[in-house]
Amino acid sequence: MKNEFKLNKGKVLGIIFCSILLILGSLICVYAQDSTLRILMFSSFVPQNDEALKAIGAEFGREKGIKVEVDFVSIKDMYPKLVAQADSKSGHDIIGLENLLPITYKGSLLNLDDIIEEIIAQYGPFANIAKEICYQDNHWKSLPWWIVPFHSTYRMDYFKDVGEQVPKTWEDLLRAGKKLKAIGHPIGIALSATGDSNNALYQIMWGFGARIADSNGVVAINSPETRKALTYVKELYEKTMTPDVLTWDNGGNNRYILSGVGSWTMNPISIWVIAKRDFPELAEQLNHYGAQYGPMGRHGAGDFYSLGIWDFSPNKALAKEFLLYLYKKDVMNSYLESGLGFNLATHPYFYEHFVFQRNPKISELIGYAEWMHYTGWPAPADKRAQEVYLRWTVPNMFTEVATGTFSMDQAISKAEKELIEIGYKPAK
Amino acid sequence: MITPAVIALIFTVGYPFIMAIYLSMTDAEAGKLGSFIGLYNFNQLAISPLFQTAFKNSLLYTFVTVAVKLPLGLILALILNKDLKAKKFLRGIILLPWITPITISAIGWKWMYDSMYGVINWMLINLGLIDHSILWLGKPWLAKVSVMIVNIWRGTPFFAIIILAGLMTISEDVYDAAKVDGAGTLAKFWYITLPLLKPVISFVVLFSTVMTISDYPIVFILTRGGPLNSTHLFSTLAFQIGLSTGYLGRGAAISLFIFPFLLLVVYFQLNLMRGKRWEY
Repeated sequence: MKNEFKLNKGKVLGIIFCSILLILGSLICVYAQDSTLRILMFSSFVPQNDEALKAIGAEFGREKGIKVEVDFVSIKDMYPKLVAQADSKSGHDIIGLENLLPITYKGSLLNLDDIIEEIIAQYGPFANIAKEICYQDNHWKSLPWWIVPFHSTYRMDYFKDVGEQVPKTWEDLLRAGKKLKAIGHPIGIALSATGDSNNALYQIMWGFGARIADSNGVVAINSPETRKALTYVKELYEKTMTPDVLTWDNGGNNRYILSGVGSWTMNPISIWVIAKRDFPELAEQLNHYGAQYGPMGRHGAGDFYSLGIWDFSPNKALAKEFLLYLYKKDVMNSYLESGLGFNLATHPYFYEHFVFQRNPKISELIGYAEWMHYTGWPAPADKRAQEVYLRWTVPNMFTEVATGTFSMDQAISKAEKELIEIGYKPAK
Repeated sequence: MITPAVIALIFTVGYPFIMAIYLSMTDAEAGKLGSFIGLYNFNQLAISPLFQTAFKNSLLYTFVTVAVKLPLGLILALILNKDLKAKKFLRGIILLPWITPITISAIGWKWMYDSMYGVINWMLINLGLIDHSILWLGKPWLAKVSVMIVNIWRGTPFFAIIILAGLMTISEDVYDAAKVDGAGTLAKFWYITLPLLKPVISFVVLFSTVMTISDYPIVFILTRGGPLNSTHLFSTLAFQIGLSTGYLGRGAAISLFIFPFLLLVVYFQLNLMRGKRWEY
């Protein structure tokens, strides 16, 4: 064939040289754009949240004469992205941090003491949980932003049918749940390898006075309180739920309520949001309640979101300005409004936002951050607590007892060993 | 002329591999390079019950699925090698499980396995075979079987198509000669087809073993390692420890535990492929 292209050593070297030039050129272009502020954020369950953040970024960019880029990724994809950026010391300027991630990355995050002190001076102190997570090694490592509370969602009509009110205590729930299961509308919380299971079961543990470890990191799971919580959940599982809860993922309880079968579950308000869109009649019957009371008080759980700035960001000053901008009253109000009640402020000043005040179905959630604890509480907020969460240590222990896979002693002993393996100190 | 290939290999295979070895011997965490700790991570893993579970699961998962995919793939290949109507269409459609992105098919399977609304339970109940839902992903042994079924469903077409390619290279003359010698169908398969397919089978088993032992999306999407950590594999545990929790050193050590086993598999398979020249 004529004009056949043949590779020789010179051409190959030429191609390699051009490729290197191209890569270097692209890198120079990227780093030359200092006037662009890059934000990496989790995609919110409520798409309007993401739109609002983009709009806030655009407005800030107009004011400052810069470009603000917001990239959204799923929570699952966020973890490897953060690892890659922290290790390569390049990437976005501002990053969204879920739950205990500020602790994981505290060594790579810029101290935000100055701007957070400014916010505190203007509005007063943040909720306890905000400080417990974001204040590390005597510095604010990330800016508390919002929480997604994990509370009860229930069917008002089914509860009325069995002559029960909204359950405010765990005992109320057990009593009502038995009646609800009898009329074909069981309750349900996930007993499986899923975040929902952690969020629900930790609340029950705390409500009964149980904890995985004490504030010094000494294992405390082998206690009478844990046994009470396990006994309670076993009875709850056997008398008020169906075995399907053993297979649930994070969407399992959503489908359960939306199908019209389930009568009560624990979740953010997403079930109600979807019902309003797709099943308005069902949405009319749904309602919410904040954290339940246990014998040892009212304890809540959920997801906590904050924003950090990489210490290798070339736009540190600009990034700090943006974080401060987010806490301007009108900006914060517009952002919370976009969430339709899905996100609650971590600062008491914004608790009673009009989104919650004007809708009685979510007004019960006002101030949820005051009851909420981070995963692993009261053990130190650190990577060990994160590992316990991701190993499903607590859901596994409850599931083993509830299903009769292990005796209570065996399940507790197994969890205790796992906690020690993770790094908690053995109890004397 | 091999310089570009060598450069590409160094960057895409060599560097990550050496980096993984280095990380596995450090206490590196996300955003922190860490310091050298020798084989500490490996020692810790060896005594971890969770790792031991993942280790056993990985071997079981790989052994069972490859052992099932091979005969199924062989049968499928033999059928597809026949003079069938719509042969091309069938050969194309058989590849669908293999070419469909695994995340999509795994989500599909998750729906099918759903205990409340899944089509499998619905069908079994309506056929009168069961009277209550089966918790496909809710019981440890059932969950193990369920994830294996998905892997087999996905991997069998690959076996079939590669073996089919091997079958098509066997000359009809050989079968004709055997027929003259009085060989029946079974004898032809046993003494001609199978020996001549041995290099192809060795390759496909080797490739599948490597891919299966490092499988990740099926388990991650279907069970996230549950219930009760009963379906964790090397890869899902490495992701959980290395990326989600941020213990990069331990995560790398988990990943590298696969390496000696893969090396052994590669060694035996390559020996098998090279060791004997098949003549006819």
